[in-house]
Amino acid sequence: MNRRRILYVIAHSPGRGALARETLDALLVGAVFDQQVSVLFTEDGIFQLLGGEHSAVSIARSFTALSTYDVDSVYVDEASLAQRGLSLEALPVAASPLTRAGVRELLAAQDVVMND
Amino acid sequence: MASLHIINSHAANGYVLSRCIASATSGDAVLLIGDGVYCAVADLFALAVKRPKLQWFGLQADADARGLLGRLADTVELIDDARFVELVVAHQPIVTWSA
Amino acid sequence: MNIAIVVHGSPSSSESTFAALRFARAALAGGHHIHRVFFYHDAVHVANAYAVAPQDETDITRLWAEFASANQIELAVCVAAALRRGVLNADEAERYSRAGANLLPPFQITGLGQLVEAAITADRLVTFAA
Repeated sequence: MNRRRILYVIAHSPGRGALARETLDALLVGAVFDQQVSVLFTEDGIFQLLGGEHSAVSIARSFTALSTYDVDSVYVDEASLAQRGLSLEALPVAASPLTRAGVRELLAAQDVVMND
Repeated sequence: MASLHIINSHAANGYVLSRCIASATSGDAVLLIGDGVYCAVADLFALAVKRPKLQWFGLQADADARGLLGRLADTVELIDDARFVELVVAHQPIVTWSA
Repeated sequence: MNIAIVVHGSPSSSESTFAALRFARAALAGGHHIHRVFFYHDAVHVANAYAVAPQDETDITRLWAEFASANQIELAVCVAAALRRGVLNADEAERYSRAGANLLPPFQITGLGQLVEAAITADRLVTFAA
């Protein structure tokens, strides 16, 4: 069977109870199935990547571990970053910035898109 | 194959709608369901829909339940659940946008 | 076509369980196959047999159960999300020493692997977000 292109779109901030944790769980399980898995942080989803070391709210440390799992690509929506006064350098994770056009191309290329 | 975007909520500042539009490619379809149908009565809608060439649909039952029949932008075609299924069959991927 | 449905919102604070059921009925009526319905996040509350709907409101839990039984549809409830929210089948209730089980059959407890399997196998995956 062909490997499917599956994209997880994270668009919500971390303070929503179990939502972020459960989205991350789904992403990590998805990654072990040997599909072409990528993740896009956009809008307030960007904030998932920040957070204090002892924060119970943020799961930034888990998301920064994405590279140790079989997640093929981690993308960040450039415009969402800029709108929040953040820069790629400020993020504790290696991510590829995407322009709006880049986001459109990424979405259009997927077989399945999951969201938080 | 073109994508189907489903908007299921409405934010007063219009960000769910604008996020969807910014992420959609010309030729994609957008379906407003549940509170998402409110997107098509706001001023922002007229501005927002001018940009890319998208096909706009709304669930008639959800618009009716909210007293919105006759109040939605003409650009939005009201459809039933059977057409919703047809849209899903005719598009890939299906992307959902929520507040 | 083989369609998978994912539901995220709880019956009490979101329309997603209702919207998904309408869609599922329309999909069957259109001659399509429903690969699986996967309840995740707060949507696992819909499987709670102890929920009592007021007489003038829709009993969405029973409607899903009847729809699934009549049409042989798999209703998959994510185990981690369900445990966190106190939705347990008999096995889980025993494992965690809880007083009773409240998962209404034919809803069944499954793992996240079933969500990914649906994403890989089904022709389409539609999410009804919260």
